[in-house]
Amino acid sequence: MRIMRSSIVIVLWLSASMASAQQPNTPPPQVNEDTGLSTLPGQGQVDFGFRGTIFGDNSDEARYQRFRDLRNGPFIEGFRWGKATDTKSWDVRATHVGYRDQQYAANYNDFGKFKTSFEWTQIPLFFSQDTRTVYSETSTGVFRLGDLPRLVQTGAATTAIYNAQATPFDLQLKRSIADVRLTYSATPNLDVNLSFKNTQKTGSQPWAGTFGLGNGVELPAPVDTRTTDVGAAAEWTNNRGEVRVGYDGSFFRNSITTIMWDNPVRFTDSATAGPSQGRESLWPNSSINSGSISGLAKLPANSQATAYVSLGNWSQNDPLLPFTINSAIASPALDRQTADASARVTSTAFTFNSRPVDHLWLNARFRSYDFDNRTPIFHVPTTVSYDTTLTTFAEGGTSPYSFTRKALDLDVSWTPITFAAFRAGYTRETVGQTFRTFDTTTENTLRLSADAAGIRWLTLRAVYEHAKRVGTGVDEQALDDIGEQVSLRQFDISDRNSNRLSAIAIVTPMSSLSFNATTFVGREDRPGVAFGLRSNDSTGGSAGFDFVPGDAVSIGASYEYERYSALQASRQATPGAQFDDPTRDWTDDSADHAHTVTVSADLLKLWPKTDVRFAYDFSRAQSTYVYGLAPNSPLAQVSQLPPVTNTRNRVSVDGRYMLTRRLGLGLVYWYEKYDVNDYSFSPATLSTIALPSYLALGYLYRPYTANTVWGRVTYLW
Amino acid sequence: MLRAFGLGGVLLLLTAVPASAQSGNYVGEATCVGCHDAEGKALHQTLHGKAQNTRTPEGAQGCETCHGPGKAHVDDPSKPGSIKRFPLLAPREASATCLTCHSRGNHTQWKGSMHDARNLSCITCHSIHNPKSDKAQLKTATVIETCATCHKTEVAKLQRSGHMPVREGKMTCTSCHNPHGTTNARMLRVGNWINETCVSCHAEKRGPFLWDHAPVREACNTCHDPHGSNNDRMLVAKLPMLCQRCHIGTRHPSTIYDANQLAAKSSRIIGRGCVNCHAQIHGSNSPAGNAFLR
Repeated sequence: MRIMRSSIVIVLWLSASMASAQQPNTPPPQVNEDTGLSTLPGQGQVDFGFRGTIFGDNSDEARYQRFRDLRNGPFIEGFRWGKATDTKSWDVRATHVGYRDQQYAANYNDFGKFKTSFEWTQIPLFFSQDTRTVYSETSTGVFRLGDLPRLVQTGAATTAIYNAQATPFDLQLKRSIADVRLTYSATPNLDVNLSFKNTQKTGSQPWAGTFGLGNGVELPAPVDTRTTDVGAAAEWTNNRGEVRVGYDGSFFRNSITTIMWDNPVRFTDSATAGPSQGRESLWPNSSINSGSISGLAKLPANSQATAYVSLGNWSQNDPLLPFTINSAIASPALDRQTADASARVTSTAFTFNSRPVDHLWLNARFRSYDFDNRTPIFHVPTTVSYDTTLTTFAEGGTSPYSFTRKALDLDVSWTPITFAAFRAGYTRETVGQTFRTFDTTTENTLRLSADAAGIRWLTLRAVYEHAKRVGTGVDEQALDDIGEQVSLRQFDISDRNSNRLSAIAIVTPMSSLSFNATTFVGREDRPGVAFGLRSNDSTGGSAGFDFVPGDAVSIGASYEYERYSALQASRQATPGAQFDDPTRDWTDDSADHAHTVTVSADLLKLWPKTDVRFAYDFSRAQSTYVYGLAPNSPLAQVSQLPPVTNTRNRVSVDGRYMLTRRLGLGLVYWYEKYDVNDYSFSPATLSTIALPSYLALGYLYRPYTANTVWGRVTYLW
Repeated sequence: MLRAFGLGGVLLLLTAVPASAQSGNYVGEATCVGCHDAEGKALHQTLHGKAQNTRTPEGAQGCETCHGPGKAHVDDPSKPGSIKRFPLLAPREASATCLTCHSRGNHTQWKGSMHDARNLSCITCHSIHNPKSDKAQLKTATVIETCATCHKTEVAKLQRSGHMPVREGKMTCTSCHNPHGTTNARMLRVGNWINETCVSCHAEKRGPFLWDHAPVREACNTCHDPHGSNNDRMLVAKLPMLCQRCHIGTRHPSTIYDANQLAAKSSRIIGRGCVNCHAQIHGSNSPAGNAFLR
């Protein structure tokens, strides 16, 4: 072992000594698909032109756009104007002007005295253009079916009528964010920071209503929410340390806190056959107020200590709806009229870091997070299921869930030569929780890493982690009380042994060329788990290169493969003898395989006055779920599900020719092809919105082929 | 009383430790740019070169604020170690220079952070004289390119069908992470636990609700992969299989939902699976919301 260690050190030392004055390699190609603003010199720039898209037959235009607004028409793609002097700078920017994904920003900086920024951004989310519904929103959050339920209930029509009479609509959301920040440097040591952010979310999203297992409804739930975040902090710093005091507030307001909808199969209320309508509470208004104080002290011997304490209060006190809207059922009395929900959240973080000698780095960190749910138990001796059935609720009331996390990290890093570090670390994390299977889980993690970086022609990084999580205070009776198998272990807190190794290597044989490769292997097994998630493994790696022979040419490519697998177990049973019959056990072996390819080539001024950028992205992911049965299983023979695949090919070519020093003409072409086979959302599965037990919206995953062309003019000043 | 002593102790410490003595061997910026003109000009294009801000290198000793006193280097430029050359410094030594000023705001938690522990330095990602990005003086044009140098798997996941608007340019890695270290887990920027980061945008899901769903309250990434997945809503597995990892009970939670159930168009496997009925899976505020159906 000693020889091996010495060898590593020698190799790394040799690597360091062979370092030459080469430039670091260029990282992989851009992911951001927005063409964005050019980095051409100048204080001002505007890009405008015309954009059009030709879709292949039956393409899903909504999925192509998704978080963008790519409607055909004229556009101002980008605008920027600014000025910088030795004392001040300002700039204004705009992108996608007039479209649903537009963004405006402004910055002002009086260096060392005052700086402020403003940003207004819209992010659309285009779910579907295929969605259809028979419901009419007669008032906000109230969805009616007119006379149709009467026809169905009396037998004059079947639920198929809903498919015939459904009308199409676009299912979309839009998030509009205004963000203002201000920093005033009162003295060379003191900063005052203020922030204000307002996020408005409007539109509609898929939502569920149900009257029982055989009668579900999908609704376009209206969304109209506003979140206001404010922050204020004072931060004092000198060359010996820092002290910061801050306040943060967040206020969520929902203007639609209730949704009501007609039952598609009944128009009269019944205490046994169901209601004529259903009602749900939507997101409640809530507030967070928190204060924090933190400090940093620079200590002798290259040491530093930090401390952070935060105390917050989360509250929510919306009025509570009655248990049911079904007039044929006597709604149980409410334990209280409002939610009266609150939580006290206390967080701390303390670190001590030291480099007493050049080769040694020591770090200790303790963090705690206490979510103390102070919501009084809401007693529920009886409840109403689906607005349909009055039932006894065995648990008797709510379970205001609290938890406390405490983590201690200890790390030591040894740097025997300038650019190589070897680290050993240990973490102990304990989580105490209420109303869960385990009172406490404790995870001990050992990690070892080796990092050789800074050597011009070589970067090597590797880390290995071994962790063991053990729960104590298991309460199997709690599982029995809710009708679960007592040997079920919920996967987020179950006992777990995990091992993970990952490594990356970047070799730069010459300043213009680099190769990179990564790999990772992760194994998780969960001892003692008869039911639930038993294992969860991962494997993968990547390889790529970058070639940058000069300012004019930059070429890169990479390929990544990932595989994730999991094994879970269950028992198909009804209450009684089946519940304890092991021959009814089944397993589900799932696996995700993903392939990702990126290629890019930037040819800037390779030809006179001409910039050309080319990019290709390929992504294919496949998920499989394979069921297995116990020996001598009385269950019906399993018919395996088809794999779920998503494949995307994208090519973009962006060319620009500068007619003059200030004026350029550009042409951009995007080709994008998306193929999907997802049995849950496929048009074959959801061929009608009136399904046997479900009235759907027709939200589908469909393929598309899109050819987008932009012609644009660029003007610089 | 104890707290008062603690705070007093910290303040005493901040004021009691002597500042390091400065050498008198400074030669001034004019001397430096006599040879290093390009570096000097580049510096003046950045915030480091704005002398009005007395916290900047330009507002202090110019080039020598970071590179140290230049006299020995001027006397014999070929002499090794006569001046600080950052690419030749050990990463933590390079960072120590930056941290003399960048010890506030986002940088407070750098020492001991995950990146510091892995022997990264400020100049692993940032360039002082030749930045490529519009903001933050990165060595690459975008944040994602910088992060992708090492975090290739996370960046590859952005290409999945279920993804956040990162590849569309509406978010970037630093929307959620502060790579300089934080008080949160996984270098998350906002809050002090994973969920606090998530609900800083998804505020509607934060509650507290009358009926909380324990794993939701515990950590959003129990069910979601925020970097992207092959599933709707960035779920780590399809429904109902994901829910069946914790809910096996009897009747419909314990049932195999195979191709036969799919052919029968069971509402538990088509569309959004379990959430076709359990719409309030993140928490319900209805008195009848114990099963997250109302």
